[in-house]
Amino acid sequence: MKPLYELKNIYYQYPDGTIALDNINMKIYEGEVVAIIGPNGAGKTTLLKILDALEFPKKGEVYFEGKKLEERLLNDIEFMKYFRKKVGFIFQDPDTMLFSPTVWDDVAFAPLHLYDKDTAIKVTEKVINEMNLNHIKDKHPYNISGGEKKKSSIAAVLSITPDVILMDEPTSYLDPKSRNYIINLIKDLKSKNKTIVFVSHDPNLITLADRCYILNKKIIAEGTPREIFSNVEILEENNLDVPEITKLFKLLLDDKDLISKINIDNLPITVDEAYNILKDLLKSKT
Amino acid sequence: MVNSVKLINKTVEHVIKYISEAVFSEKFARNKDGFLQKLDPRIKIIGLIILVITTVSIKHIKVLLFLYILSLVFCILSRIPLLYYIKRVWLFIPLFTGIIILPVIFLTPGHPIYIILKKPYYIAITYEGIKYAVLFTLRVATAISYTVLITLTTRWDEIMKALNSLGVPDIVITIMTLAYRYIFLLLNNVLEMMYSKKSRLCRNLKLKESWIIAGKSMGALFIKTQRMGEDIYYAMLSRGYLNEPRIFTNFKVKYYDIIFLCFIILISSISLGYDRLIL
Repeated sequence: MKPLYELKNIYYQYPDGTIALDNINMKIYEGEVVAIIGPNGAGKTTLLKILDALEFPKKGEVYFEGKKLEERLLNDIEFMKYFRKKVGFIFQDPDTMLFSPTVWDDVAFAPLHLYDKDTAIKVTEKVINEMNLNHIKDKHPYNISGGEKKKSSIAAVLSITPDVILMDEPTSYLDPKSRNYIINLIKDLKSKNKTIVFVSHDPNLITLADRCYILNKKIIAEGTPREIFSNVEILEENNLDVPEITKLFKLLLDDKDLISKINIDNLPITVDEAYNILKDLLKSKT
Repeated sequence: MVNSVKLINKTVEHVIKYISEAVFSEKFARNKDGFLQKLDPRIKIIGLIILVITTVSIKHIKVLLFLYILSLVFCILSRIPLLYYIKRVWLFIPLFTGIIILPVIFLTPGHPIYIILKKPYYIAITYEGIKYAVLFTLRVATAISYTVLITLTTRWDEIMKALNSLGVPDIVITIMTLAYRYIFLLLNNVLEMMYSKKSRLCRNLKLKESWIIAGKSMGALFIKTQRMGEDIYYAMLSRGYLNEPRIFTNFKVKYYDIIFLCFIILISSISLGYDRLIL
């Protein structure tokens, strides 16, 4: 299977000389959900910017559908339009993405630049309706809540129905309801075979990924969320955390009186997994 | 000195809060039943600008009073609380006109009403001086009244789009929209910085200390602004922006708009004719 993205020996340095990324090698396949985790300042956002061809590495190569992403290629209008339609980037701070006078104009921004006017209006209206943004579509982005801003910024990207969605900390600063909305949205996009690459510290969100990378300027580890969460040492070294439900089962297993009564192969990483373990346990008791 | 620092801080805090609330509330602009709100924004802007130009051309108080009353009628028909509107207009009048008009009252030659000083210099409040001050103030107030009516009854996006369809270039509209969008966000940052400073202080700062902290805050805000500007540009590029802004407008002129424009032209012609030919 050919990768959608292939990163070879990526090296990136900030203008002040700080190294952001060093020798990054990575492959991302179509329809995959990939989580990139790591401490603050690990270069995660820079990596997403490189994947969206907003920044270019100082050394190394990035391939998208087999084509090398470089400034020269992005200057080709045809390719640029194709690439921008194919890849959408949801920034961490929705205020960065909502720069138009109304939410409607922000959702329509990408379609107006990438499609003809009639199609742009049609797709904008469709996304506004699908994401239930009708009540705020005429409002100035300054006048809407944090959750609504996040939802609007997502709509602003989904309006072009990209096949690849890059998300930078999609659940940060959100209340539980908005956070659950994002989790369900990722599940929904995953079911539609979209490729999702997200950066997050949220253990519950990370469990949705097919593969995870721990990044701290270099790639520290790679694996499924279960493999990553079982590597407590690396997680601690990189200021990362495991889901609360996993911690609870770890505590139970560490208890000498209980260890014989709980017989599990893997620690649960989601509430659903924990529910099934407990259900089986309670059933066996009765 | 300490009180003056406190006063400056309070003033900045209130100004930021007031501007943010006043500008972004848009509550009157969203009232679809209002007279001016129903109009096509382009026609409304053209009509009210005609009235502003007429106002600044008028030389007699009587005609200016008529035009001022007309603005109040528009305000009532547009369902804006009259007191709120009058306060909003007259709040800045003394600031703008006071400095200019104050010397004129004493320096304009004419029939003295009250003599302040005879020697060594003759200073008196004259009838002509007062008349000019009233005329000037009323002219400014009426012109501002019509301008405030535009901003109160039209959403910012509609003002921008209307200006765009009246020929203002796309790039100017984009710059104005971005400035409007982010200036208040940054002002809120300033406010938060002020609050965070306040929450960590256990004594009043001296003027010099306060200026040092203000300087540091300005620096921090500048860095934040620069970073944000960079990210906004990236967010635009990521969504297909090619340094050519595209603005979507779907305004339609109705009979109601044409009747309004004809009425404005008629009122302006009558006012100018009466002012120049009859009075």
